Amino acid sequence: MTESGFEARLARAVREMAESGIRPFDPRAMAEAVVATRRGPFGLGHWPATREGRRWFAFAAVALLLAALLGLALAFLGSRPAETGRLAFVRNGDLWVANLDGTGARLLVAHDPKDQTLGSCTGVQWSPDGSRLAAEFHVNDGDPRHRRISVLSAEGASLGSFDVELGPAAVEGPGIAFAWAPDGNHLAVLAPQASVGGLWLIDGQGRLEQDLTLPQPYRAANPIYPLSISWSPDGRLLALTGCPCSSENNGGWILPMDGSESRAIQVPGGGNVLSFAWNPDGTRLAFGSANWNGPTQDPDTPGELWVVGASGGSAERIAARVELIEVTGWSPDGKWIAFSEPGAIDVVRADGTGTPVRVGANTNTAATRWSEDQRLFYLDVPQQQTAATPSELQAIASIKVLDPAGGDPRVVLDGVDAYPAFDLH
Amino acid sequence: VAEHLFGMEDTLAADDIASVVVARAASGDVRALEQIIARYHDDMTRVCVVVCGGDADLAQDAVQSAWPIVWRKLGTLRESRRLRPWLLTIAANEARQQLRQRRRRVVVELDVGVTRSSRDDPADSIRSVDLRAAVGRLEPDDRTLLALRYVAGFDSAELGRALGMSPSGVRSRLERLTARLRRELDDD
Repeated sequence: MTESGFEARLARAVREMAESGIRPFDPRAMAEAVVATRRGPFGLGHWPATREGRRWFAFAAVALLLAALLGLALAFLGSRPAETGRLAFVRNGDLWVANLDGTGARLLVAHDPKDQTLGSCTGVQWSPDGSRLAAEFHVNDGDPRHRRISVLSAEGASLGSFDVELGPAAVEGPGIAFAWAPDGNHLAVLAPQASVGGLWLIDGQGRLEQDLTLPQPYRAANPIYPLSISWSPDGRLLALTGCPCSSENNGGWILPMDGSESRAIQVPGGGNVLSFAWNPDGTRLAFGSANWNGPTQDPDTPGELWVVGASGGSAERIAARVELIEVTGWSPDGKWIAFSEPGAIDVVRADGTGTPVRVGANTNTAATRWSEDQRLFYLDVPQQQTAATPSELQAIASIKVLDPAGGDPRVVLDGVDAYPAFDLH
Repeated sequence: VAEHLFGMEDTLAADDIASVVVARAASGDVRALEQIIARYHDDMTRVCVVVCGGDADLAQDAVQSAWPIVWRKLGTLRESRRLRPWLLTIAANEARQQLRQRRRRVVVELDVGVTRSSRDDPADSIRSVDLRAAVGRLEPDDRTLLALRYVAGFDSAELGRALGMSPSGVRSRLERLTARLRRELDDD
């Protein structure tokens, strides 16, 4: 389109009109205000689009500022160090966040039984930098095989999603396991079923990046509980569990991300690998085991905790229990490993010296998280409820914390759903 | 030529920011959003002012309503190189929405001083003021067409995408609009 003389004058007049509306603005303040408007389940809050709205917004901002200052003053007077991390947890199928001391609990994503797409939340994980969350949801389309991994901003804004169709055996079983890569740019998603499941790499907006190949023995097996997936700290290896063992296949595998051949983790004496935890520098790997289906050389020690070098070698037994053992986390300083058995959570020195310390008794959970300051957070589920129906498992558990300085575990949050794992950053 | 380059400069710069910043903003990075706002807020305001018939306050409201929409939908932008036209289209739509919501007659207070005239001829200045007044009297949809053409620098294809029309339909509508303004201003 070329401009004639009249069109050129028209264009100039339009541009002059356009210039008359330019006002100075602060991009940073505007960006923060835009982000602050995001609220609720995948939705948009109400930006004060009118002048009256902006006046209310300014009033609310001043009120919030005063409240924040008051809170800071109270925290200072109480000589209580400010909490810097955040918890994410599930309550009544909704996704919540809170401060590490349990204050500031806020509903982030509410599920709606009438919503055709958004069912209850069944798991959550923070990105490594704490800026985003990945959460697993049921999909309310009448097909229990359908699950969704949603990527959310820390404010609850939807950044994308990835839908997974489970095979029949996985619906009532392990569901989906997912884990952020250490660089925070990718998620690994594991839903092993021979026909429709698999292992995928998705990006920070839920878009499929790579369809990864599961080891053949893993693909051929039906998944069992627990299903787990974890990245090595350098992001080069994926450790996964979830298939029943045989004498050749103990259910634990290490997958190099460069496409080279995967490696099976063998439980000395046989048994299932139930879960993995990398030590902070990625040189060692702890795993728990049970002897379901496997040849048992020592029938008195069916549950064992092992540590093995990431590059291979002999596994060293760190602890043994009469029940199965799940490794739930390696402390940030690398000195301790937390593990669970039915009815209890224990902590043991990673070098195998000393006896395990009972952290939580009469509890039933496999969910623990270490904070940066070496405190151990865990989900305390009443034992008598472990065989309840899913709806009866809602809001019955507590998140507790054990301080390394000593003392009894302290309740951080009550009313947490029993089985979906919580997370902190 | 200078006015043509005015639009071209924005398009080229948009490519630069798109490849680096859009993905970060889409993943929730507020600082990346800040960069996008710093780069495009004025452009969006210019478009909105014209769509709103010169009502700068209403245009500011429209742009401020547009940014949360941008933040929410940024992840749906398939081609980051199309960030600028995408933003300006959202801004124009939001300005039209503001006009509909207010349901008020826009009183255009025209600045009789010519702010960007490249000529000193008083006759040119008077014609420019008359033209701006005539643009202010147009329907919002017509002003949107002019804003996206002459301020945003959209070509026929981009205008078609933004307005839901074919490129040839855009050209004929623009010709009819121009002819109507010429008749109204007795500009032969």
